[in-house]
Amino acid sequence: MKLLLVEDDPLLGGAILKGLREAGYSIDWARDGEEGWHFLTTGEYDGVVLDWMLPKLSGIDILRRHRASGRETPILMLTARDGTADLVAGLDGGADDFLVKPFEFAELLARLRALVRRRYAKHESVIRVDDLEVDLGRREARRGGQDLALTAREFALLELLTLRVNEVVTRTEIWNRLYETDDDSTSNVVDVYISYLRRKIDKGRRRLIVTRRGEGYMLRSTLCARPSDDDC
Amino acid sequence: MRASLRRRLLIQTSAIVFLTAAAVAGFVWWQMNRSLRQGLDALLRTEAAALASRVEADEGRIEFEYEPGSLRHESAENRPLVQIITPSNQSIFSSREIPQASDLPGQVMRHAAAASIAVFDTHLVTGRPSYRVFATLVDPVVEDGDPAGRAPAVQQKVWVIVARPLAPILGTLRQLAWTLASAVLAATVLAVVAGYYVSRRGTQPIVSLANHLATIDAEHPELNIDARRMPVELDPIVTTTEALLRRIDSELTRQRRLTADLAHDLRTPLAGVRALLDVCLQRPRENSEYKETISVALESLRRFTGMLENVLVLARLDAGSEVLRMTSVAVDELVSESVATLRPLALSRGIRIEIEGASGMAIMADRDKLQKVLTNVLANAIEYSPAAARVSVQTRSLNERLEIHVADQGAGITPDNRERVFERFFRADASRAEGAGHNGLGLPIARGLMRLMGGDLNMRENQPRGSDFVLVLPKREGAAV
Repeated sequence: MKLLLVEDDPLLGGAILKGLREAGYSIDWARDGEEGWHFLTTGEYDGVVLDWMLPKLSGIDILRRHRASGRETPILMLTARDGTADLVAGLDGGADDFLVKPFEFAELLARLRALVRRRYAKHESVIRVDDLEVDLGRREARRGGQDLALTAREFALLELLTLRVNEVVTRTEIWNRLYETDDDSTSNVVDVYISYLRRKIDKGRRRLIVTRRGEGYMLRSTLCARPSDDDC
Repeated sequence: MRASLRRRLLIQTSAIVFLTAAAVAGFVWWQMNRSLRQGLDALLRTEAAALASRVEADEGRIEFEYEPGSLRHESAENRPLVQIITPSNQSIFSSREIPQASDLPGQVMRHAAAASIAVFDTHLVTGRPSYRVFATLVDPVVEDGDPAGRAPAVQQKVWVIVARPLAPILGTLRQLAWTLASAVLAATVLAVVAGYYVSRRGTQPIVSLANHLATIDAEHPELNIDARRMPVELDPIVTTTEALLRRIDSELTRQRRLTADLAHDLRTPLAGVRALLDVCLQRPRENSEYKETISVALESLRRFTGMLENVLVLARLDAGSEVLRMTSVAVDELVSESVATLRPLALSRGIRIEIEGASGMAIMADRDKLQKVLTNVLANAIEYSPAAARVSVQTRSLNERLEIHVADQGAGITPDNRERVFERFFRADASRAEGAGHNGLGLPIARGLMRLMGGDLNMRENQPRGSDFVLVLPKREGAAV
C-alpha cells in the first residue's frame, strides 16, 4: 500500500517515515504544502497522513482542494493546535480521521489500517479468500493453515490483490502502490514479483492469482465460478 | 434615591402643564378683573354725568332733582350711593344709605388733590364691603330765562359723587377663581396620568436595548441589532457598543490564536521525540542506532527546553513578575561577548561582523537580559544574511539615550511587517519560518525585555538593503559617557 506523508517537521516526519516503511507501506514524503499538493495530484495513494501547519500551503487548504476535485483518497490529519475548532474544520472539510500530536505510533498505524480497510470496504483486519488468510495487522499470510514466508514487498503485493479481490489490478496500479515515486525500478519488476508470489502461494494448489492479458492481475475466489479469465 | 429618567420626565411634564395652566388661569382671571372694573368705572362715569346734568344753579342757589330709584340697581344692597357737595363741604344732596361714620367728601378731596376727578376704592366704614367711588367737579346747569339785566352770581362748582358696591364684581371673580383652580388641578392630574404612560413608552427603546445587550454571548460578542428600527438618539450607543464588541471579539480571537499557536509549538517537538522513540522500539535495532536515536532525542529536548524558557519569560513579562538587576554595564564587553558567542555561526556562513563605537561606553541595564537581547538580534542578523555578507554592530551615544544598531544586508522586511515581527508567533512567511528552531518568540521577548529596562527595540530599513535593529536604552545618572 502506498501512502503520502505531508509533514514539515524533520524529526517527526523522519520518524513517521521510518515507522511506516517498517510497517510495510511505501511512502512518499513531502516537506511543505506545495510539494504535498503536487504529489497528491500526480500520484495514486491508498492514504495520506497530512499535517495541519505547513509552509506555503496549509493542510486544511490541501484537504479542501483535494475533495473539491472529487477525489476520495482517505486522509488522516495531524494537528498540534488547541481546541476542537481544528478538529471540526478538518472533519467537515473532508478528512477521514484526525490525530492530535503527540500520539502513540501504534495508534497511527491502527488508524491508517482502518482507513485503508474502509476504502476497500473491508471490515476486519484478517481477510479470507477461499483457504487463503491475509492478516493485515500482523502482516502475515497463511494458506490451508500453513504459514507463508513472504517478504515485505511480497506481502504488500498480496495485500493489494486481496483488498481488490475479484477485481483486475493493472500493472501500473500495482507499481504505483508498491513503489515510491523516486524509485528507479520499472514496471517490469511487477511481473517479477507476481511470479515470486505465485511460487509461494499458488504452488501445488488452486490458482488464486490469475492473469488478464493486456490488463493486469487478479486474485480470484472460487465464488467466481467461470473457468475462464473473465470478470466475475 | 437614584435618578430616574421616567420619573424625571413625568415630573417635568406635569410641572410644565401645571405652570402653563396656572399662568393661563391667572391671566384669564386678571383680564376678567380688569374688564369688570373697567365696565364699572364706565357705568359710574355715565351715571355721574347724568346726575351732573340735574344740578341746576337758580338765582344763586343750587338745586338738585333726584328721583330715588332712578339709577339702575339689582338689589337693595347694591344700590348706588350719591352725594352732591360743594368744595366747601356744604352738602347739596346725600343718599340715605351712606353711613354716618364715613367721611366720603373728605376721602374724595384727599384723592382728588388739585384735580377735578377722583376715582378710588374705599371701605367707607372699616369692616364693611368696599365701594368704587367716582367723583367729578362740575358746573351746575344754568337755567335759561333769567330776567335780563340781572348778572349771574359767581359760578360755584359742585362735587358729584357716585359710588357703587364692588361686591358683585368680587363675587364673580371669586367664582371664576374657583373654576380656574379646578381646571388647573384637573389639567395637572391629567398631565400626570398621561405623562406616566408617555414616559414609559418613550423610554421603552432604552429598556429594549438593555435587554438585548443582556443576551450577548461573552464568548462570541456580537450585537445583532437592526439599527433602523432603533430611535435615532440611540445610534451613538449602538455604534459605540458595536465597535467595542468587535474589538473584544478580535482580541478574544487573537488570544485564542496565540494559545493555539503556543500549543502547536510545544506539542510538535514532543510529538517528534515521541514518534522517534516509539518507532525505535518497534523492533530490535543495532546499538549504534539506539545511540543515534538517543542523541537526537536529547538534542530535541534541549531545543524544546529553550523554547519553553522563552514562553515562560513571556509569561513573566506579561504578568509583570520579571525581575531586573540593574547595574552599570560596559557596552564594549557586552558586544564582544555576543560576537564571540556567535562567531562559529558567523564563520559557518562566511559572515563578517564589524564592531564600532562601543569603547568607553557604559549604560545602566540588566546585564544578562541585555546580553540575551543582543545575542538574539545578532543571531537573527547572521542567519538572515546572504553568504559572505557583512553584519555591523554600531553603538551610538545620543543626548538622552544610547543606541546599538545591528544591521544586516539580507532581504529585509516589508514596511507592513516591520512592526508585526514583534508580534508573538508572527512569521513573515505564510505559516512557518524558514530557519530551524525559530518559533516567532525571539523578537517579542527581546522587545519586552528592552522595554522592561526602560528602553526599546525597533526595526528600520538598512541602506541600501537589509534590516537595522536598534536597541535603545535611556541614559540615567551614574552612566559614564
